[in-house]
Amino acid sequence: MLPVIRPALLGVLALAPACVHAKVMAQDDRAVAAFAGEQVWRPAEAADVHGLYESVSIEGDAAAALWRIYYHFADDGTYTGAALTLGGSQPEFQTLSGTWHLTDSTLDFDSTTTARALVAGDELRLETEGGVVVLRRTAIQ
Amino acid sequence: MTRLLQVIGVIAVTALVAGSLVALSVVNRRIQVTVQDEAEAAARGPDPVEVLRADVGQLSADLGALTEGVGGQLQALHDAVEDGARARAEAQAAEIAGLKKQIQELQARLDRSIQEEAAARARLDQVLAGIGARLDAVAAASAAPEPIVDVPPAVELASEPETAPLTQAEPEAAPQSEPAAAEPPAKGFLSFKLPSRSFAFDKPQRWSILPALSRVGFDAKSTLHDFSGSSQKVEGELVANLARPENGCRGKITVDAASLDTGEAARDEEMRDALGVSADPRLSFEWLGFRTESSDGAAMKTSGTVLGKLTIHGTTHEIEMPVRISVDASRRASVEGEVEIRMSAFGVKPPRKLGVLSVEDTVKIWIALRARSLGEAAGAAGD
Repeated sequence: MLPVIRPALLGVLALAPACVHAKVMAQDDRAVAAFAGEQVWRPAEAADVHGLYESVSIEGDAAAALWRIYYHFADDGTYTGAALTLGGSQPEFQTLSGTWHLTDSTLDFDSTTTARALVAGDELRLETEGGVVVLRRTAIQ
Repeated sequence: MTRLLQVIGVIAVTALVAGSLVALSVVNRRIQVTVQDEAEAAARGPDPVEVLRADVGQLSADLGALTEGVGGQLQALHDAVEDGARARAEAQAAEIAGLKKQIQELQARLDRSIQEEAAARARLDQVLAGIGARLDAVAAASAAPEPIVDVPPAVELASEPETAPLTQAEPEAAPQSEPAAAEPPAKGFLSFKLPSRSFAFDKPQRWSILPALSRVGFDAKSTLHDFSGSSQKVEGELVANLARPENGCRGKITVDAASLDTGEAARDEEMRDALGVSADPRLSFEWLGFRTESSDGAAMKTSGTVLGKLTIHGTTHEIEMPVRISVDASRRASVEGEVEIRMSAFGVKPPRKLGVLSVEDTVKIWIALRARSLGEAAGAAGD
């Protein structure tokens, strides 16, 4: 029986590659993209901003010294934030609090710093001259 | 009476005859009657009147055709002009739309710049106010026998923004033994004050692999079809002067072997068995040296060959892997390279089924790593 099955299998295998396309990862796809997927960003509105966020990516100059950012934007116009930074030999957290408001998709922190705010799903993208951070809304547990 | 009538009759007849003769004479001088035969007419050619009539008819026909042709040409010209005008109008509309968009973007940037300038002015005012308060405190401290350490705490400084000269001028801003001028000014980002971090491509740095932005994998060929496997569970650290890695570099990268994923659960299971994941759960590469081919300090790019030891399935072999290294605007290093190895050399038996389904012994392993600088490496070679 084996002498019959084996040539048949070989025949099938000889033809199979034509039917099964290769699953080799393209060289350009090996690197992990900093921003996963093609998000469709839209200008943020105040209702989009409320809540707790954790950064999922930081790009630009700020990324050199900034590891992670957390923000909580409260309904009453106050916020608190924490950033894990690296300046010396060990990382350290910076924390701050203040007020925020959103005008024409520009998020204003304490009337001293602004960032262009965009949203896509549960992600909030803040763009400044120093870099771009994408924050993801997270639940308080 | 009868005689009279006869006389009158004679006179009338005479007058009639005379008149007839006169009339005949006159007519005879004015009318010339020509009688010719058909042969003579043929010899004299076509009738000019007929020829003229024919010419006029031909000219009329030609004129009609010419009019029709010119009309068609004019219509075509009109259509072409219309089409051209329409195309130009559309192109101009698109160009105008693009210009409008550019103007809007420029306007938005201008607005942001104005806002940032206003914010910077506000921060500058705050800084100046802080300096004034500090000077007052210093003056007060000088007046009283108190040490300068009682000036307002550094927390205030931490909230101060990017004002390079002022920050550097403050003694608290540079508590390290290094001179303040050696560090770049602190920058702010979303109200956070970023630590001052100097970075030089041509300096030994400690680099930490970022698993979220790194991937290692392999490409294999099998009887059925080629496939890849990869993992992002990679970690490690590298110490190197990326501008001159040949002067000394070291590091180690490890990969969770069980996390290698080919997209097919059954094949992954076989691969884990072949790799002996239960006994040797990690694949590792020890970075021992570098052979530089080219290095561009301005572009922060280096290419060459990494020399190191690859351990798979508990077996270690020295390998050489061509790589490309670059540092991006986020000061993250990217290391990409690939090399072919034989699985059997590492004691890994290529999977085989039914005696015909098999994976080739030679596989291509590749790395696409990104690493963050942890700062300059103290006492490292290569500087």
